[in-house]
Amino acid sequence: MNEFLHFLRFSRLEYMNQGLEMSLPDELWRWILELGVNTSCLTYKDLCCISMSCRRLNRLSKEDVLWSKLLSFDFPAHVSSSTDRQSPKSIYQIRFEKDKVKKLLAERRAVLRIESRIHEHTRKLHEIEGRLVDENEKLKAAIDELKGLRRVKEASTALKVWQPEIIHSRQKQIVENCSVPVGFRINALEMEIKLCKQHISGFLRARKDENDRLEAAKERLSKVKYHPLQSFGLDDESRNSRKSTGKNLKRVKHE
Amino acid sequence: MLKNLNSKHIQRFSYKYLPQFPISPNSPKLGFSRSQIANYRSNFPTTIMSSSKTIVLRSSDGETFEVDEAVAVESQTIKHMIEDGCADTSIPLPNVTSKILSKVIEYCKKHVETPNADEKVAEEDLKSFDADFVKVDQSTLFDLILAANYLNIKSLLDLTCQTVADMIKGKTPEEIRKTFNIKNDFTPEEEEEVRRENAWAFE
Repeated sequence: MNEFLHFLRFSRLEYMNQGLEMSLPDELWRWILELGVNTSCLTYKDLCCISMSCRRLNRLSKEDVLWSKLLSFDFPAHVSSSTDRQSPKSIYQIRFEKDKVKKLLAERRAVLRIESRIHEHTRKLHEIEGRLVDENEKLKAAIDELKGLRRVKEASTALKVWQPEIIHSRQKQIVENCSVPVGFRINALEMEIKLCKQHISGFLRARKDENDRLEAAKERLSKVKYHPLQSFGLDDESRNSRKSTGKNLKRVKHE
Repeated sequence: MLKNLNSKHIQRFSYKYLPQFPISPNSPKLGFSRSQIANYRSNFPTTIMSSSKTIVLRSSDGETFEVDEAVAVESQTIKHMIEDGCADTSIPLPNVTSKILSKVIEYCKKHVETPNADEKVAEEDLKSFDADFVKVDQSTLFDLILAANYLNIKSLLDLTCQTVADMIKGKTPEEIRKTFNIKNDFTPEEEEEVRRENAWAFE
């Protein structure tokens, strides 16, 4: 019964075209944001991201209380004069931009670090692919040789029974053409094939792992590189499921 | 004198002012029968002489929960209701469903049982309890926030709100919208303006 009531309320919100965050009144969202800022959980970036998510949160995240607190945390040397007519958020923005250079270098370093990791992963992937190709070729060669030898073996067993002359002579030819000891070679080849297959499965696993790591690093990179104006085209597209202009996509990809 | 007391009179007193006399069924002075005393007892908000008092809470869907008073007064709202003498039979909580109420009671019980976090073990235990407590789905978490706000339980409110703040931390706007199922109600022009306004934070 309770689950049903729960579901009803949730679906009522959906029906009224409101998100889940509407179930909390303004003052509770304010408290959440205040608590986050006070415990240094939310930074200026988080507040800006929140303000971009919807109108209501935009309004709530611009409040003076939050930004004054952030100002006192991040720029404690700032002396707020009583003639300050600007909002704390814009004051923060000004101080922040003065500080930008330092931050820019740090972020560039982080991006470079992740990019070098990506480079490393790609290189390893290529290596694994190369070895995979080699191993596959070895496997093919071994299988071909095995086929040939099996034919020789069949021929030699067939010689032991009576056959028409033509076939007999052909088989004799096959057996004589083979210069290696058949039994031993067949065993050796079968072992080699098994070994190759093991190597290949090992390489496939390693490739998958490396791929996963590469994807994770790429995701980290995109998170670190997030910028509202650059990803505007993409977000818009995903929201309205329109085809995005190639320009926007290319711009993000070539960052 | 006592024979004239009926439920109408009793409801006007807050329990602090109740006469302090023992209700012993065998007390010769009073000379009541057992059934009269049982009836009398049921008209008081709490049993006077016993040390552990229980409060009955009623959720919005009619389910009742019996809790110790010490647990119930973790909630300032309930505490004030008891002090004002409104807790006769049960305290109705029309804004809290039974599912959420049971969770809140679980939280209060744990926090009342744990002694004042002097030992490291108790503190760690409480922390891990809290961490597991908030591992619930979104809408339950929001309901817990609303309940903690309504019942005025500061520690639960702080815990749940901190959880939400942690969920917000480090996310891009699209991820925030996805996490909290927020509808993007900006018009395209508004959206562009908001993004431009906030672009400085990402340079």
